[in-house]
Amino acid sequence: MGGSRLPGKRAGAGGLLPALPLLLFLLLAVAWPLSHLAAAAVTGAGRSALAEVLSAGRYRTSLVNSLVLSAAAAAAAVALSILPAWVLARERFAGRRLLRAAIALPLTFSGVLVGFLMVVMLGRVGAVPVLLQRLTGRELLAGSAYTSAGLFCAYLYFEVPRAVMTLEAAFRRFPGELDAAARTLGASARERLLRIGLPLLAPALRSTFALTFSASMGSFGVALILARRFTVAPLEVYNQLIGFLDDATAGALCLLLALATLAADRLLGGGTRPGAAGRGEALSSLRARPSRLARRAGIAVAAAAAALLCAPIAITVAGAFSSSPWYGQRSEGAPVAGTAPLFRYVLGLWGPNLLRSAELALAVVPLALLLGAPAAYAFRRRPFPGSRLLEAAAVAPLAIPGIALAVALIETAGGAPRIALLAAGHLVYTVPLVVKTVGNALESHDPRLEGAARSLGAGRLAVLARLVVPLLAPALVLSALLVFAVSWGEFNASFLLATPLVQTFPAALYLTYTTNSFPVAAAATLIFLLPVAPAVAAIQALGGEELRRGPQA
Amino acid sequence: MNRSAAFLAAIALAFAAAPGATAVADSEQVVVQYDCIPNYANWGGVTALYKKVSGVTVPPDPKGSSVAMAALEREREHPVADCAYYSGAIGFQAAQKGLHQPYKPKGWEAIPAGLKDPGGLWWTVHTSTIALVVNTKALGGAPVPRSWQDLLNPVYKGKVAYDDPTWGGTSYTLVYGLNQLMGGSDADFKPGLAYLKKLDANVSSYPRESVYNAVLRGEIPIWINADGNGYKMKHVDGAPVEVVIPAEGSFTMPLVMGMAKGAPHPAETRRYFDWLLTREAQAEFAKAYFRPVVEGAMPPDIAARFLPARDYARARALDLAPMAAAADALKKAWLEEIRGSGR
Repeated sequence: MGGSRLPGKRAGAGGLLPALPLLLFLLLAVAWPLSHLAAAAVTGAGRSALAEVLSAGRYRTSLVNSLVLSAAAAAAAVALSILPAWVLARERFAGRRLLRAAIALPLTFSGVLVGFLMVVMLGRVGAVPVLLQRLTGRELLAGSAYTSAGLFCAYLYFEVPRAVMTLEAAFRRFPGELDAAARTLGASARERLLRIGLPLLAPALRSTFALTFSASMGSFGVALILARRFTVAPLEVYNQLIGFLDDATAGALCLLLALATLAADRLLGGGTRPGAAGRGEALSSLRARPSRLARRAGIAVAAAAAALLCAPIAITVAGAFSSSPWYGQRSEGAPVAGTAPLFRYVLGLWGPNLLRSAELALAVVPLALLLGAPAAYAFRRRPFPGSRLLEAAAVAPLAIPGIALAVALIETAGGAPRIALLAAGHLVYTVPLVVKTVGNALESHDPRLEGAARSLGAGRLAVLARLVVPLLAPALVLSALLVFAVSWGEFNASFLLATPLVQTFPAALYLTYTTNSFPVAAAATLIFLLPVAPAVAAIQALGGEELRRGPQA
Repeated sequence: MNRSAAFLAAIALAFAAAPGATAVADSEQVVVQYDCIPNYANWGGVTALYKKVSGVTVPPDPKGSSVAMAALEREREHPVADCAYYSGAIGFQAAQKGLHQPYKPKGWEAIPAGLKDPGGLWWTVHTSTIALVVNTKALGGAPVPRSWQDLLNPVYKGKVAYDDPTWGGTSYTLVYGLNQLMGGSDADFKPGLAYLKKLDANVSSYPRESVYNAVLRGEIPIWINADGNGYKMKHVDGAPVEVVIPAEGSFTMPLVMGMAKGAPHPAETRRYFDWLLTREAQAEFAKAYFRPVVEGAMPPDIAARFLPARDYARARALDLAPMAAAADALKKAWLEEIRGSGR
């Protein structure tokens, strides 16, 4: 966002120093490992894996499936999210914050959790088919979780929250006064929509599509649980890496996946740059109020979305407290003799994983801040030659599938302690959030303040300690919460980087979903949610739009 | 200023605390076993018992046989695992690939010849038979299938599952065995794949993880897997489950252990292997209806609950060497023919 030369924003090489750790980190943890994978894809052993993947066959089918399904789900998610986002952005009503939090909560879920929720709802004995059977006496929708339709629903489940968050931010900035002016000049509702609404919102809609599309393209955990009869590219990557040790094919698939998401971001993204945030709100008195009916309908749709997103969680968590036969029995020997013993049992099983995840988050949060925040400061206040490129490079890894990164890391740095590799994996996906959050915060503060302080005799350190850090404190706290939420929920990279000895809690969730009975899985899910729910609430209170880039599903 | 100072202090504290916590967790005694699925062959119960008698932790691991082998191969330079558990052919293949180191545990002589590598690169810990594990309550009124042919009946549409054979060794044994049974050979996979292609119409999923609980809940009504898992559902968990050895025949399967080359905890692993052949451990496997490899370790009350011997007379043993040699090609073929069709 350079360009305009403001006082206090000097070009020069001096800004490189605070960004140097980030540069080194990106080279070491992203560029080096991924170039290894890409090289394998392009050269291969006497053949071009890239050509093989693109020729007809299973790999191309998986890529086409991924593209079509992701595009369809993204389009549907954008369409479904417009009304809830509009209501959340523009209306004031009782329970609005609760509604927002309910819609945002799934952003922190890893894909395996989403997949499990889909099985709970749409499996062969899922809640929906069982209910339909009771009502109609016929077997309807049983097992649809495992079809492409089930995968579509799962994609919607993690895309709608992302889309609502992104669109809400855009709608907040929508200049309502333009609409009001057009209205007073006699423009009809249709004219206003076509001439003002759509042109102004189109960039936001496009970039929301790009974001949700990318989220689905890289989604692995969901497919791991659900895609049994239907293959998607990330699952083929996993097959090749884990089942057949075919790094060349996996690398080629990853390369194409990353290209698709980067292209979507390049061509469609960029519509939600935070500009003059809150302008729409300030002038809201000028904007025409929607009819009471439209307002109520909007709130109803938003509430329905929140209810649909929360129902699977509520039904799952209830399994820890219910003895209904629908949940099945505990198969681990002892019957459930109440809830406290159940939780003790679960903690006994997964306690070490819980500690490991906490410990990892504790290390990743400060490291992400130290890598991201100084660099973001340099990008905004002391741009240097190549700083925009570095900033783009810092955010780009969000488009790389976590499984690909994990294998690339193991291949190039397999000798390092696994906990260090896990931390590196988490940092790759959390540092961009810090760069973005701190960068946005700096954008909203007048850089002349620092110049003024310097001219009044404050030293560079004093400016940093007394002005910049205090001003950025909310953004730093927000960044820390975001990093925590992503690190706590990260599955895709952690799953492959984990060993039986070094295993995070989301990896344990996968194990518990597949090997333990429902009550145990439900209790483990609740334990996972306990720190996440307050973190989401706090993030939203601080206006954390970047939560929409939560852990890869 | 105070706020930011506190913040920086918190960061410093976190840095100091994190490595310390890791060190504590790493100091306990462990053996890392790839493919240690708690609900398969009672590994959960066996490892819990071992923890009790020795204090050594053997953490759970969800990999199937083939994935365990692939992980050992990938980690050749930097070994993570001490040992792995496989269905016979895959363990045989892993040994051939040079992923194992020899160790003959105490009680080695008790293992019948043919169920162990003469050099000690792998040895059988227990055996099992491929069977239909049927949750009768979840069949929705359909009769219990009795044969491979029965399974093709459209009344079972969406009700059948067998594990992805590129992942799990049990399912690889199934796919290899079916091909032999249907008249195929190591050079000709067509007969087996043709049957599986027809079966595909009824298959709901090719799981890569343990679906033990899914079968218990009725999420999967018919699971083609090891007989022992079905008996455990019926007798330990009290589920409405019936175990069927198909009329046309089935396959017995040795399940083997191998010590990983470069195992990080060699002494612990050897002690663990020694213990796995003790009567105590073998009886613990028998509690999950996997047949102990050590003669006489099967408790009589457990033995009485298996299907009668005439059913098991239909089960044939498969030769591990050709089965291992065919593994890569058959798995690829299955992936292309069955899974690759990807609806």
